[in-house]
Amino acid sequence: MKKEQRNGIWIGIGLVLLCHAILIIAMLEMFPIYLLIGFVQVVYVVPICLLGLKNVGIAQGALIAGGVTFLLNSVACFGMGVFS
Amino acid sequence: MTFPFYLHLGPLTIHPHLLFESLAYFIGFRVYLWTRNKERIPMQQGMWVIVGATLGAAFGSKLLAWLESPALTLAHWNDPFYLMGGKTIVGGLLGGLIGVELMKKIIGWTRSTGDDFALPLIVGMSLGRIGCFLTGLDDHTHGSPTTWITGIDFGDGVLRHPTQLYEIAFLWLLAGGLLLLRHRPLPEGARFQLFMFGYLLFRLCADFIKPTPHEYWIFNNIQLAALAGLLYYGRLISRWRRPTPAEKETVHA
Repeated sequence: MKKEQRNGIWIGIGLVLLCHAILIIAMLEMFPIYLLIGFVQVVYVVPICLLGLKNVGIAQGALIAGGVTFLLNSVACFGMGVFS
Repeated sequence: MTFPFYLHLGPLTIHPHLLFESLAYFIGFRVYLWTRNKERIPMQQGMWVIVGATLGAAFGSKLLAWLESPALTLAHWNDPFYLMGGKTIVGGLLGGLIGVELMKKIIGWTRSTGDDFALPLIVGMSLGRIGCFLTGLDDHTHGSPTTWITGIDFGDGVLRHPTQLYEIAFLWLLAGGLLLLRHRPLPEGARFQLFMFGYLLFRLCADFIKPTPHEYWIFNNIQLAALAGLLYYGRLISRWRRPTPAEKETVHA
């Protein structure tokens, strides 16, 4: 695997995490968006994946970050609650 | 000790499930990178397999959770908070398996990739179950009331089976068993098949001592999925000893 693609994976993960942070901070006063971020993230994960047309690692990283976010979003194995 | 056992990091109070589940994914991924057979699959294809596993696990874990009570899910089909709540490990494993197989078809990879996942999954699932245990009753992964010496009071004064801890103990016994087999000449993918068969068999049995709704005759949604997985892996394992047509020809020649 080329170094550029390996770095792309971390760039993809980083971009998704950055978008999560921006969205959560922007919506903090209006709506607890972090409870639904697993669904809402599609809006920016798909465009980030399109960057992967040039560097496939970015798409891989974005998809892995999106999948893990979706899994983590339902915090408990049943039920919700993030921070006390 | 009170449940949920919140963890304090500076000004933050973190839910134990969030912390241990995050650790499970991160450390599981690191263990995969560390222990994987570098000659089995190149890194680029390996990463696509990880993508398939992650997306399949996300979809499968959610789908099976929705099937715990189909009537309730239908009643809440337009409530995103309800739909986002809940997930199941068995659904994640079976969904991950389907995701990997689909991805392998897309990238044109025919060799088995599962053996590299057995140990990372054991490490990740054990860490995740610590979070489930520390969450207590809210997590709905505890067992039924018991008089056994292993009973734990999760805060309501009732001693219950700590099925999360049973699962961790079973996973490490399974890891020990797989370690004993490491020098045996087994077919490619056999270790992962044994891991899945063992874990699904454990869940089929353990879910009889869980107070979840058993909506499908005597089974719950997880047991039904575990049964389907057991049939699939049982069939694969039963084929190990059968000689291939080429071997048969050699014998007859």
